[in-house]
Amino acid sequence: MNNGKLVEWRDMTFRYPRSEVPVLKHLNLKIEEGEFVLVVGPSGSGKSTLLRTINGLVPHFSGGRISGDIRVADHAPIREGPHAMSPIVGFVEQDPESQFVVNLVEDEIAFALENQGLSPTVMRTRVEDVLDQLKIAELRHRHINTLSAGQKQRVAIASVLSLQPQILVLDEPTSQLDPQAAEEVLATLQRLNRDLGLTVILSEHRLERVIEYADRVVYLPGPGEPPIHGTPADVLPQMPFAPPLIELGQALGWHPLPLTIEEARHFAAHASLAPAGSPATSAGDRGTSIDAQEVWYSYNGRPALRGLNLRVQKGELLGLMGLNGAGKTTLLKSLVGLLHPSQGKVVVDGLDTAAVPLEQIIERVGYVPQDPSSLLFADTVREELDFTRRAHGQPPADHEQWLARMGLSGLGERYPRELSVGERQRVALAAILVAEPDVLLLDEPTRGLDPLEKASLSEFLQDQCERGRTVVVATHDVELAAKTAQRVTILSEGQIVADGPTHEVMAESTVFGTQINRLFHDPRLMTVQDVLEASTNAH
Amino acid sequence: MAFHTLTWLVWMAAAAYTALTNLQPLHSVVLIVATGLVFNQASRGRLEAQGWGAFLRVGLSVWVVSLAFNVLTTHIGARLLFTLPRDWPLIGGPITLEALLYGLANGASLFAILLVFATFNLGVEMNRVLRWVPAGLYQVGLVASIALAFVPQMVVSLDEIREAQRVRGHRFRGLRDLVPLLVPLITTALERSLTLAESMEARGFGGIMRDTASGRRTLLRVATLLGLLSLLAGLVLRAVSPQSQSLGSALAALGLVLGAATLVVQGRAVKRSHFRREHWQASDSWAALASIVSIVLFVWIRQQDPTAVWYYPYPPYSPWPTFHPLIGISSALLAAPAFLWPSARQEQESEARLVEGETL
Repeated sequence: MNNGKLVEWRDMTFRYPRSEVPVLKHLNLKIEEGEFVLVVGPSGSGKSTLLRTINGLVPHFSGGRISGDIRVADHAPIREGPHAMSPIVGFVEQDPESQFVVNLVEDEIAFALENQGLSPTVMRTRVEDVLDQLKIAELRHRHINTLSAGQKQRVAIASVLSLQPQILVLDEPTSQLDPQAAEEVLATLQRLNRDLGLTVILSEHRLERVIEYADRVVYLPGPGEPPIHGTPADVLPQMPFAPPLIELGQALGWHPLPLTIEEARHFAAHASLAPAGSPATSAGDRGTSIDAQEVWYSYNGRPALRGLNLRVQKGELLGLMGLNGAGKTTLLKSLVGLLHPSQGKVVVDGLDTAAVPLEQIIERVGYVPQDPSSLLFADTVREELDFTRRAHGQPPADHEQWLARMGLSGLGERYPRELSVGERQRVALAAILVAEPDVLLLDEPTRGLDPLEKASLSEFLQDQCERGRTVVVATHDVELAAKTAQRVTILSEGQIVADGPTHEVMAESTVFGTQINRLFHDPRLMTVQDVLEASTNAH
Repeated sequence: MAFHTLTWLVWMAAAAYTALTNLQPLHSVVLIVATGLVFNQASRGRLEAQGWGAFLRVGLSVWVVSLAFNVLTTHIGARLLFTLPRDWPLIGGPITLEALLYGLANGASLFAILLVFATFNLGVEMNRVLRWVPAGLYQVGLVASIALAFVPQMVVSLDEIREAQRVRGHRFRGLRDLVPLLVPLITTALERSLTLAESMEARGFGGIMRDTASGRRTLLRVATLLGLLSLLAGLVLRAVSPQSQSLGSALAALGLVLGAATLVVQGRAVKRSHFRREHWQASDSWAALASIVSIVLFVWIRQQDPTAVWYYPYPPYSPWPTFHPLIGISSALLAAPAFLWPSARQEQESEARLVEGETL
């Protein structure tokens, strides 16, 4: 019998093919039935690998050399493989776009059942059950490619839940989702865990979203290093990065460490703080860098931007926020001239995007798209940099200097697509920046980045602004926006609904408020830094 | 979906065979018109139709290019149109009517094939076609499912990539400039396919294989190998040596039987069921019948008179195309699905019945 231990790793060591470095080394770990487990760690630390050993995808799908053993509910995934483990372990991938075989929701849910050879009557019942459990019954006849990302993830969960597994394993399920969609998915998972007793094991970078649900945290410090595991209160202090609330609690010595906003209210109420007045926004007109006037744009008759007006000063760092579909990407593409407004005008760095050819605009404006994979094609990182310089007709850049500046030293000869998500993001950024544009537009640069990588990106962007570049960042990440941006603009359905200094705008919004904000309800307190300063001021 | 998957498969077999074996331009014309009618019906209200339209336009440009090439470089024939100076490389010399006609005929034949392919793709739902792949070949089905899931996505990716590279300053001036476009496209598609394959594997795609005893597995492997060898030997023998026709046929038949048997035995180890069942309607019977009559007629005519489908205009043969009325009828029959197409309401009703879960 398993003594309540549902998953147990015993002395497991695993190396990917053609790699000498073991990603997992003599790993010992146990997970009890019914737990909600959060697996965290920096990029490349082995989280994905660990999760895939549970249903046998490692080593059956990935290849590589494995030693040691893993037991999952009295089964042996290494010997049995993913086919046999599919009724016991449900596995959901990170990217909602790449998981679906057929295009109809019902058919996709039934897909796993068909592979088990169940009778149509049983399949019908199970599909009904699952649609109910996940509250997606109204989506049953929809085509999957018409759903939102959050809905897609829930359909993905449904499609593995139909097999009635005991364990649900998810690899960064909310990294591609906006805050609202992420909330829906996580709430669903919590419900499944509480109501059905399903063991949930998921990996996530954005700790602040998930930490309140977790029973246990498994922290992987790096490839081959032993995990640190325990309750969140035990593990979080031992990690180099933590959600803002935890960081604050540790800095101010709150004991026992509060994990949720509810737990922290008591401490917040008793904290003596003298928040500084609103930081004086740098006075003086440095000149307008971006001027969008009454911009309208439609896709296939559906308006994406409606009479949008936006003015950005030189050297400003603007955070562009809004839910998926609000028009952030459309706006950015209009600012670089990829899209011409059907009405209105966009003037960037003195150039009218509709009147001037794209080649001229991109000499001044750099646009980094959402997915770095659409940019990277060369054999080495150096060649990527050279490619952009050549395309702009500029002489080759000083590689070493650029690599060092972007935190990519030593990676010059590597194949860009083989690097970690954070490194790839930085290569894409370097590939655009190497042309030295005056204006930098970034679309969701923090997807898939671990907290340390995010912090260094934040510092980098602020540095760019100090050098006089104008930066516009479209992002979902409220914590990043609070720390990095001086000004925030919120888009909804193609219109600007809020625009102003960061602390003013984000404090007003419930959806886009930071953790610190929600705790103190004071617009002057947005980040941990703000609170710490206020605390020092008070003493 | 307008017709049962099997109906489409039968239609495609008939249309493809006709398109691939026929070279006579007038027959090609009838075939193109017939298939075109079906294509037109199938593309009503479908987003994918635009993609296939673009595909066919590419096909037309290939026709024009190969026609030009043929006309300008083939200098055989009796009926002169005009002459280019002989010292011009490659294209110098007499430009003949025969070359023009041959180019046109070849192009028409090619275009007919492309049109059949496009129509089939538009009419059928590929995932339903994959259900007919025998269980023993489930890996083929896996690969095909993944490819299908990603072709439409690749079209979207292409736009993203083009924009991303343009914004980097890249201009598309020549073929080499396609590299920054194609490499991310293909690698991204491959990476996504891996994710999908992983997801499918994790959901037990292909059915649970029962542990086959190792002895049995070896037997199956040997049988498959023998079957394939026998088939190959039989076909080669038939082609090479006119005396051993019957021996060749026997070997080929033996090979086929062995291959089919191993497939069936392997298939039984895989458990799969179907959530949805397609309904066979009256229109399916008529469409399938028309396709079968078409192919039977075509094969019979070809046996009676093999030259009816050849076209070779150069001397000493006559350059003018011939038309065999029965082949015309056989090609025309392939337009049947266009005329038997169910109305929108009928389609909705049949989809509703699918959802109710009625089994056949």
